[in-house]
Amino acid sequence: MPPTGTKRPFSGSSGGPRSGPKPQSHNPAQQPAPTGPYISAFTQFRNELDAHQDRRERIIKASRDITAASKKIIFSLQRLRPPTLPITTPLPHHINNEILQYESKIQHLLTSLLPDLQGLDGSRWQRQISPGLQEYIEAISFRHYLLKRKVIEWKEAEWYVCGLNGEQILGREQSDEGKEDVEMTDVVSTQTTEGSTTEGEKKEEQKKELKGIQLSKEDYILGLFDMTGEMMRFAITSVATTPLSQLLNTADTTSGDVKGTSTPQCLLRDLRSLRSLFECMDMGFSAFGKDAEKKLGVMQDSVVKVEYAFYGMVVRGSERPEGWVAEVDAAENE
Amino acid sequence: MAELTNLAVDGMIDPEIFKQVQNDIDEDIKVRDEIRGLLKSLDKHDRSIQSVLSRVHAVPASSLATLLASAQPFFERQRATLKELDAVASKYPYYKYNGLWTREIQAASYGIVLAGWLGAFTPENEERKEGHLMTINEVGEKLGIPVNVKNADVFHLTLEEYLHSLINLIEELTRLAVNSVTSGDYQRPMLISRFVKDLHAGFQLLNLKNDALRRRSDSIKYNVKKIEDVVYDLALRKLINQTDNQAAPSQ
Repeated sequence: MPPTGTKRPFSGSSGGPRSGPKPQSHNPAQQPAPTGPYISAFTQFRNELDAHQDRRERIIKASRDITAASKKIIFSLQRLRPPTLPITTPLPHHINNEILQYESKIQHLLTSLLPDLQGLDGSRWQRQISPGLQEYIEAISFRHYLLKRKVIEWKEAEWYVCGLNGEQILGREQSDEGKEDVEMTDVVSTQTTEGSTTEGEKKEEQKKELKGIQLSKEDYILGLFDMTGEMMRFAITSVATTPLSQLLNTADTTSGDVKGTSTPQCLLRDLRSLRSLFECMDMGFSAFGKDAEKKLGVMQDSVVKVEYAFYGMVVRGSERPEGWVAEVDAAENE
Repeated sequence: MAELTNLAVDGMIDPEIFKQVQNDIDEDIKVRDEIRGLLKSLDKHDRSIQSVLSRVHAVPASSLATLLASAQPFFERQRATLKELDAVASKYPYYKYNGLWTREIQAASYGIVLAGWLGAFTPENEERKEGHLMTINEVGEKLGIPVNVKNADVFHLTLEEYLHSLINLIEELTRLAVNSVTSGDYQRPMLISRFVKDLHAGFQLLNLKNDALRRRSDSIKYNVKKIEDVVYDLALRKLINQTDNQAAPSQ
């Protein structure tokens, strides 16, 4: 049993050594079973509460595991060094494999949670599953951005997190990235019409009774907020590893000419547009509103950091030797 | 948001996405406001009920029936407001807004279990009898809402809310035990003692996680102790007949 801190584990005294005298209940002869008018009612209450508690723990655990795996996907993505965005070539094999491995873990976890999140329980455990979903949204929206230079739509994001599409998601990762668009729209449309695809029809039938995990708009937005932090990190590294000559190779950064724009430039421009959009939203004063406000501050800082990195390159970059770049990993550029 | 369209210069962001999200958030704020409005009147009814019921500490048992009857109109108003809340809340996933009203629902449930214990809901042809524990189903019936629903996503009284209200009841009965002695009723503390002990035995069966319910149910033992002290004081002075009372300490 792993150490559980100072708290007693909820599940009772199973396993762990106890200090102090053994509870009397260990000796059935000494203590009679409790009697009283309300015992049977409370025994039933206990069973219900225990079931809830078990479910809650399972969900929290899965949520944490999803968070951890999502972070690893993000790390893998951060190792990419594309000269421009979106990335049009297939991802390097080793990075793709890493991502696939973590994503299959996530999809597996999401599917395993489905029975615990049906009907009433779907919204009941929202707060427990939220952190994991947000982190996963952060990972897939970041990947979506790198591959398409677009913000992932809510509907597509939900398709990823609902836990019903593991087969397609993982199968697609192995196949050509270019086919993504076509398959995606196909699946989304069949999902809404409740029709079953010919491939994997059996699987679909098994899952039919189970409703997918709902992605709240709140989790979606908070996940996107976190994505801007990843964009910032990616931009800062790119600024440092892009030769000065390419960094600012189009004089007009606001024009629509995307081709030839360096990766950091794309990121800076997109971060600025995202910032304006987020600043425009009225998040209200709920718990989500407070969360969003905090994250808005962080994302504003992110934009400023990238802007400052550019400034640094413009001011000090000219002092660097011709063609010098910081730690370019040739292997990762292949 | 319309003015933002020009920001998506290279089509990175479809402003439509954000517009939809904003609509959802606005809708959410509206629902919350609507629910809060209803909770305000629910809170008002609850305070009226509590102010009536709290006089139980001062009035003699003989006039308790009249007192309980005077709470009836407030219970009816509460029921009506709950019906409205039910209508609004059942349109959305229950647990999405559950946090907003759980305190008020606990209070409503408590009003019912206290009144029920005092015998407010005894059938008219019978004599008022104290000491009845309202079951969760009876509470739901009195409040006019479903209870402990598991298979449908509708408004209801949860098991946890009901248990909270039972702890409120125990706390109130502890006070009532003391005050009954003051007003010369030595039998009621015995009744309370037995009742609270039985309830305590029930609570001890629960495996509660570290939350408010756990902390509060941990405190029941202090109430049990306090009531035992009252019983002990009475027994010591031979103010009660000890033979029909197991609650008196053996020393």
